[in-house]
Amino acid sequence: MDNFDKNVFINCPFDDAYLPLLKALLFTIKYCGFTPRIALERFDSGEVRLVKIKQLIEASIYSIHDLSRIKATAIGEYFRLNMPLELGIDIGCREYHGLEKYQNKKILILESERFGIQKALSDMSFADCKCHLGEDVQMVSCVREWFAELGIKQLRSPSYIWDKYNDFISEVYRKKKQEGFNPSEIENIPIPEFMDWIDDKV
Amino acid sequence: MPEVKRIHVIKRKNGWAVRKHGAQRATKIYKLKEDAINNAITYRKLGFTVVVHKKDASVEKWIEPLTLPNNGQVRRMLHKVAS
Repeated sequence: MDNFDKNVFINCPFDDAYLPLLKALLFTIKYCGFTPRIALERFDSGEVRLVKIKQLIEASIYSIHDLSRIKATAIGEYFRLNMPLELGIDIGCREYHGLEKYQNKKILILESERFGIQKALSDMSFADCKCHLGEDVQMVSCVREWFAELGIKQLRSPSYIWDKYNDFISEVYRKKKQEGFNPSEIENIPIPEFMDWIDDKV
Repeated sequence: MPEVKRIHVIKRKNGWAVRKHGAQRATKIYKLKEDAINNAITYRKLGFTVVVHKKDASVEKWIEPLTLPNNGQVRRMLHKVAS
C-alpha cells in the first residue's frame, strides 16, 4: 500500500475505554480524505509488533500520537510506555532517516489534560499538543483543526463532520441489526471491519 | 436515494442537538439531553424514527415512529368491537 502522502499513522491505546475515541478519530481521518494506518489494521500472531510499527511509521507522512492514557491510574500500576516509545521512533525516523520525504513528516500529539505531556516528558516541552479532554466531539475538532493548520483546504466544519459521524453510526446500527448483530457486537466490532464500513459510507 | 426519516439527539460542545438525518444544521440545541429527547419524540407522529446517541455517538435508544392504522385496519377494528 504505497500512499505515503495520504497515510496517517495512529499511535494510541487499544483498550475498550479508548475504543469510542479511536472510532471518532478513524472516521475524521477518512472523512478529511486521508488513510489511517494502525497496528490493528491487520492481525497476525506471527508478526513482530515493533517491526509492524516501524513499517507503518515509514509508510506515513502524518502521525497522530495520543498520549492521553500513559499515566498510571491506580497505586502499583505502571506507566504505559508503548506510546511514548512509538512517538520516539517516529521522531527518530524524521530526524535520522536521511530520505527527504521523512524530513517532511508531520506529527500531532494529543493529550486529555492540558500540559500533561510536558509534565511526563519534559524533553517534549517544545511541542504544541492538542487536548481532546477525553471527549469524542473534541477529538473530531482537534484532528480537523490540525489538518487545517497543515494547509489542507476545503475541510468541512468540525460540527458538520461530527454530525456525519453520528449519521454514519446510526446507519451502521440499523444495517447491522438487520443482519443479526446485537448492540454490543456492533459497538465492539473489530477495527478493520469498522474501517471497511467507513469506506462503504464516506 | 429515498429520504431517511430519522431524527437524532446528538452531543454538541454546548449541549444536545436535535437534528434531522443528513441536515446541514441542528433544528435546535438544548442544554439538557432530556429536553432534546422530549422534542425529538414529537417527530414520531410525523413518521420519524428517533435515534438517541450517547456522548460518544453510539446508539443509546432507537425509537420507531408512531404508525397510525390505515382505513382498512380501522374498519376491521370497528367491526371487531361491534361484533
